[in-house]
Amino acid sequence: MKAMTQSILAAALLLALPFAASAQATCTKNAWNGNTGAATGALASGPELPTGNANKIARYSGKCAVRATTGQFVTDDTPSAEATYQARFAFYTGGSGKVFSATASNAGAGAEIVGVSFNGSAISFSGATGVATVPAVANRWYQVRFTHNNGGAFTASVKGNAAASATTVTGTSAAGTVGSASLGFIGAGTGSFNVDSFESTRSATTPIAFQCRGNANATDTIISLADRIAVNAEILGTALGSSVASGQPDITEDGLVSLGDRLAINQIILNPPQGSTWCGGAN
Amino acid sequence: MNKLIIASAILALAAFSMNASAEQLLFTKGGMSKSGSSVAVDYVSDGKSVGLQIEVDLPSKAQVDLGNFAKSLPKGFTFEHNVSNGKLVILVVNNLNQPFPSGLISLGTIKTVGGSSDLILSKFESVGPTGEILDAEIVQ
Repeated sequence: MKAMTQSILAAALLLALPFAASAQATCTKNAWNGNTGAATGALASGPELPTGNANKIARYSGKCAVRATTGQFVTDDTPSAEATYQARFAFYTGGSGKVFSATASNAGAGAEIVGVSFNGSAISFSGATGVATVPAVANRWYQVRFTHNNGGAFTASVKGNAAASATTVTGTSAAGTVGSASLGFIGAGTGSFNVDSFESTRSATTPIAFQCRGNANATDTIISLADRIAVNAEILGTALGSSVASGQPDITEDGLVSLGDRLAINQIILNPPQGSTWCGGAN
Repeated sequence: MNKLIIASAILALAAFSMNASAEQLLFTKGGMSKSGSSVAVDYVSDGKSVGLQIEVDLPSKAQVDLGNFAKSLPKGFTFEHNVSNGKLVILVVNNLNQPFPSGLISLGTIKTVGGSSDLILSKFESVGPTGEILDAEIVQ
């Protein structure tokens, strides 16, 4: 893993850590290499219902996510004294507590460099200082993206709950480098978080893009009938857990793929030029 | 109008016989008249598509007449449309994700009243049952 990480680092990309080993595989946490004890209890699953999967959960993108309750999280130890660290992930606000923590050392040890929490009404950032909170509501998907610069500027953007644009907040980054990143439910709290779509990079100049909500078939950057039909297929297959869309079908970001998503996508298709500009614009 | 329908049918049958395994959208312009322009729209199905998205650029200041469009769709298919920013968007889709029957399907005629130019097909998308975009040929 280290050798692979080093080669990837040369291209500035740290890594994307999916919760599916491949399109056909069952959901897994195996891509995460640190603190496997804390990861053990976290549930890697999705809306599909293959044999043996009695625990369907909502995901943001693709077919898998992780659901975590207090003390359950996955950890990435591949960062190595990163002075600049940018990450993006999606989480479902089903609980109240800390959903992300990047620390100075492996396995979540050392000083916290960046933390992200949800308290039921707002998303807040720790580690960095002077960062305003971002209002958020329970039981919705949000994407969070931040950039840490050792002792320098800190920037974070939050987008979710079907908002048309992201909210950006700034502050001062912690003085320190990133040695590991944990995602799930770190520490105490209530309820549970679903987490998905994690990517990180050491580049400060190339933002990791937010995933386009409503791009259900994930094959292009246009919202069209293909996305509506992908949503419809997932709705029709709900009972069997079949025909799960490969992209981001939950355009309303409420944790359900439903008729509401199909209708919302339909409105985009029938009101050009939104369909051809949706993913390239704020949404 | 009869000539337009006959020409459209001949074109459709010829196209279907030449390439029976592929999907085709037949977009047969009827030309301009004093009142406006028209186009016959037919679809040759290979039995895989569950929905079609057709976008047509309308002539400036034209009113669109869809009175003879989607009058006899296959069972289970619905027709939805809207005009926005000079573009007519048409969806013909099966909400149970069941495919069109194979063969020639006459979708109908799009007419405009007013305007001084032809209807222009700007997008055609045929979609399979899980949201995959299918290869389809456009014949104009």
